Amino acid sequence: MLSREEYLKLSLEERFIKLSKKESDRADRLFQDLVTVDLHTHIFGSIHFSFDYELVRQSGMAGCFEAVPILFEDFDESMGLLGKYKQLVAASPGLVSVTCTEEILKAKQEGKQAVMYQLEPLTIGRELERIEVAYGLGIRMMLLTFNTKNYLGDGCTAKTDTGLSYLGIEVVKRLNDAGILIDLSHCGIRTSMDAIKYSKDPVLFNHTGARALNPPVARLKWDEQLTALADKGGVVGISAIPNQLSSEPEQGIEDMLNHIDYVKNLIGVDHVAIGLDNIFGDQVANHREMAASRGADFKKSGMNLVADYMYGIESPLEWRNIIRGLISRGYTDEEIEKIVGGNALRIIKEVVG
Amino acid sequence: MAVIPREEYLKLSLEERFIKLNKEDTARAEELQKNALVIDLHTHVLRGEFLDNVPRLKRAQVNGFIEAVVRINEDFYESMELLGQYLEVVERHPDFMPAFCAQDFLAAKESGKQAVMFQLEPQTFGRKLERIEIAYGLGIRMALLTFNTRTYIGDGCGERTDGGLSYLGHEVVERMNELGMLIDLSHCGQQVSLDTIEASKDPVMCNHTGARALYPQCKRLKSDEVLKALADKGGLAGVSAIPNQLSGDEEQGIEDMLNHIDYIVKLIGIDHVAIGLDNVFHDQVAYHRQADQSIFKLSYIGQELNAPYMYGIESPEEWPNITRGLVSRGYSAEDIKKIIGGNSLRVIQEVVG
Repeated sequence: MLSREEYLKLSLEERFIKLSKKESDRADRLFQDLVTVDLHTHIFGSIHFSFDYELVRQSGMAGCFEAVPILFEDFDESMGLLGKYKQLVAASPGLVSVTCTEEILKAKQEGKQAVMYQLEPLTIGRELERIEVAYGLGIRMMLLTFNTKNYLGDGCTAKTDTGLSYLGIEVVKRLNDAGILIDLSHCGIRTSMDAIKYSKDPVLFNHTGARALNPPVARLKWDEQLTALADKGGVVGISAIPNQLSSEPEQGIEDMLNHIDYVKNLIGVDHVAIGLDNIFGDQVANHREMAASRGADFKKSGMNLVADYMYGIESPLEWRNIIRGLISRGYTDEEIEKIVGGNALRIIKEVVG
Repeated sequence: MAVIPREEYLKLSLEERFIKLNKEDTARAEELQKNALVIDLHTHVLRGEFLDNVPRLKRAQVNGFIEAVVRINEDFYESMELLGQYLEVVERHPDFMPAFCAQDFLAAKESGKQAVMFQLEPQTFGRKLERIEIAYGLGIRMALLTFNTRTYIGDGCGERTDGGLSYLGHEVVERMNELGMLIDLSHCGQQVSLDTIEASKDPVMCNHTGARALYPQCKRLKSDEVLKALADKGGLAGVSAIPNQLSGDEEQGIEDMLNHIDYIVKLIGIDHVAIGLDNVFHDQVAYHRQADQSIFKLSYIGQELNAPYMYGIESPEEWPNITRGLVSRGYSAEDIKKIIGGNSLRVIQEVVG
């Protein structure tokens, strides 16, 4: 097994899944034609700020939902960071900040990459009117809790597993009214189930996987949660960060494809999407640093940092390898279209407009 | 007896509002009120027109009280600003002095001043543990862990769920113990109360509450289980006197308060009962009616606004009526001294110093 450094010296062709010439051409054509949407990105880094426009451009994704990560839930800081991101997007000729489906499609037509914004987690505290403020400033999705407890509910690694609070139910209602998507990726089981129940709109796990395939990891979702989400028309974005989908020392694109297969077989192809959660840098180093802080306790989340990277999907430049993988697993063009963007666009259209 | 309106009630002389005692008992009550160290564990007397109310506060004949710094939105800097405003008033006024330790209460008694200690209601630490030290540094000596709803620490008594103390909650308790900051659980849920009592190495208190056994629908009161656990660790139950908390009757007053004191004394012993009126100078029922319009619904905590006021203990100047009431119920001088201040001083001395 190569070290991460050695791996990144390989050419993209060497990193990609091997396909026949015909399949390879099919993958290239699909990647060029389809409106690919990544439901959860960190193009501006997560715990540390970073931005490499070239990397974003070369990833080739048509649109993404960028996370504004203020783990301590400070509202002013989150709005400040949103402003900084939007300024950088405005200053990048190939990028455009968007707030609805139509603008994503328009960006694709113009050869630009569309960026939407989500709060990870939400930073509204107890002030419901901040939902409208955040909407006004450009936020179109909110994660209800990070890993620990907040005013709304319990995160997936909290000591307790309570449901939504009264305030949580009001927030769900108000997000529905505002047309803001609800993400439950880091929420605890009961909080997720309550949010699915109380939301009149479909909701998302935008960066996760199937817990049945790797039970120790608290961030993944049990069949019961995935099924409840799909029953309400929701969408599950499969992530690709190391040590979440698998606990093996070697992890990569095949693990991601295993989770896609599993979730598709469980809840249907209309409910599967992509949310890489990629930080455009050394993710495991990042996680090791986070593990030493209060923001994320990896022991509680069942994640052992055994693998150093994800072969085949370690860098945003490998985005197209997802399409190659889906072809290798026998997915049809129509199914691939849904998974890499169609389902995401559908739920954005339905909830945000 | 028909309930006279609050306005008419407040026109009665104090003698008319007080419990009737014979001459000898009256002399006993007055002697105790004057010579014992009297502490109210939970007040809201600095809000509003404090200076206009000073004469009323002096008639209360209380040597010291713990004033609540209330920021229901849990904004830390707003709470520190309010503390600063309160401290400034208290320091400048010749009849009051700030209290930061048990000795300050004794000094106030000696110099004829009233000592004011400060508590946060609820704590405003958010997820930043270092704020506990900041709050201590600026003068806070007690903090309520949660208000009626959920915080990062745990569920309040009026929350939809009854989850226990979070991981962060355990850290907060440990840090408060280390610093010598008192823990108040008055508005906390049952499980948070039990978890905290178990986790805290210092005695803790419910400084404004009553016995749930006497009025089961009111979730702000404490179950026998919580009261016993509290006493086993050397803690205190401060009995409050706000309308519609101790009873659901249309007529409520000092006798209800005495019923709760009697019950708790029998249950956990004389050494664990104190007074925390939670009294304000204005119309409390009007205030509760207003609060019901916010996210703090009275139905969540099982309170109904049946009585318009508390006869015999509606306003701070009726404080001596508690001592009269205890005399009327046959408590010994030694027991009365414990309830009206001795127990409070003991726990403050033990935890704060």
